Amino acid sequence: MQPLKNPFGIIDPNEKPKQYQSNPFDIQNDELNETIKLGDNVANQEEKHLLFDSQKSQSQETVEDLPLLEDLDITSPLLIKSRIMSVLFFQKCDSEYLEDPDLSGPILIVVSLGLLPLLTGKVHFNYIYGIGLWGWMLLYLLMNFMIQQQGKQIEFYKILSYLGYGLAPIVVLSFLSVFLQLNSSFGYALAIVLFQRPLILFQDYNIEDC
Amino acid sequence: MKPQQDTSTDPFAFAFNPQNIENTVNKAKNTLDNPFIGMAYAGLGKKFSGIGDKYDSFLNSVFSSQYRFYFDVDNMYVVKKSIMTLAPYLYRGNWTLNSEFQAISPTENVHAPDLYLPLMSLVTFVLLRCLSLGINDKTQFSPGYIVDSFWKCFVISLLEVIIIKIVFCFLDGIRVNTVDLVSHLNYRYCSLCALMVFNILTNGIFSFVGTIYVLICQAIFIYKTLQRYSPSHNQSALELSSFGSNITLVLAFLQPACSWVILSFGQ
Repeated sequence: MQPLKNPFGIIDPNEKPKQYQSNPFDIQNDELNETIKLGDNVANQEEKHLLFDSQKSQSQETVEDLPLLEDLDITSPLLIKSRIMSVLFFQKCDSEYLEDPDLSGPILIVVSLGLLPLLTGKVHFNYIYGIGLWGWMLLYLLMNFMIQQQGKQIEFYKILSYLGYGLAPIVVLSFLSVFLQLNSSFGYALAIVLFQRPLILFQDYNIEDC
Repeated sequence: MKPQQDTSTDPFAFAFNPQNIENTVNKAKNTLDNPFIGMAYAGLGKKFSGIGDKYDSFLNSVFSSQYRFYFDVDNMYVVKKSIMTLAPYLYRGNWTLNSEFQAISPTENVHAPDLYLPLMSLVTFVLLRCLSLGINDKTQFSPGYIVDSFWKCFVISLLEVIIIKIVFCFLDGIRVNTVDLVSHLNYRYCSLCALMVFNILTNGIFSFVGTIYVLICQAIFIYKTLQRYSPSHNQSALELSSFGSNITLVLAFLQPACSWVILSFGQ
């Protein structure tokens, strides 16, 4: 049976796609059985390497296969997820985070910490943000006074980032408080276990290691 | 046919008149192209960047000033000082500084004042107090209690510092460094933290005995610390008077009284 005609030409559904092993930009003349390769007519042969190279075709295909966010070098969601997981599961922080901490994760954590108690009927935005702000400033002053012995200084945003990520276990606790009554022995034990995590996070950026 | 709007009574007609818009745009372009205006804007930008430089240099000057010695602590110093506040009778002799200079690192001399331990113990005490309230009475705790506790501790400590400063001023004008005085008087929170933990774990007669013990230790600590500033300590043996030591004894009882007020607030 003859395949159906369509605007793109007669397509045989059983036909396999052509494998271009040679340079697809080469001109093939089947009548004369010759191939005019790309770059033959280039006046300056030194610039030939700028033309299409078939050896590089595979690497281009892998670049095209990357996810869009990675291709655009937007890795914040992945970084936030990996850092929060390292905080919650007692893993050591990566050295890249200690050198260049971000604020997107802490902002997300602090907003969720304010929103989750709403599910239990408690509105504590002012206390969370007010006490957090004071704690941030006091910790900034304290750490800079202590680090001055080594002649170094720590920036505002780094402390905010460390404090923000340290609140991740508290977000878990506030999420659990929606379903469980934490004012019991189980709640105290859980709070003690989860509260240790922010202390360990700060130990990773020990002042003596500065 | 589009009806023509009567713009004679519109106060904003000048802004929407096409001819006026062109004049406005041209005026803006002429302003920006004016080199003198450009220099003025550049000067403003430099001024703002200078404010940032001044802020940075101000911070550097604050953090590298003499106050940094008050935060030069290590683990051994914290342990020794905590033991000193809980059991001051173990450290006999005069609690004096080896050097006459004020800026002594606490790591070199355990009797040197610092601000790290008072500050951290104050925050810990407030949190432990809130924890104690939440455990004992679930309905009474609210986040505002944290702020209330902090302010009560701050005000009582401030009043105590002012009273002792005034008393020392009346005593032959003895000058005591205010920051040192704040440091000495607020080591109480270290022993109060231990007391709060003890009260959470125990109750009844044990809590009462523990409270009395901590208050007595605070009195002894302050008495021995303030002796270095008293007149009897600074005078020679021939001119020794008991007035200075009596004053120090009276001031030493002020500390447990203030601690009692702090503990009884909110209960």
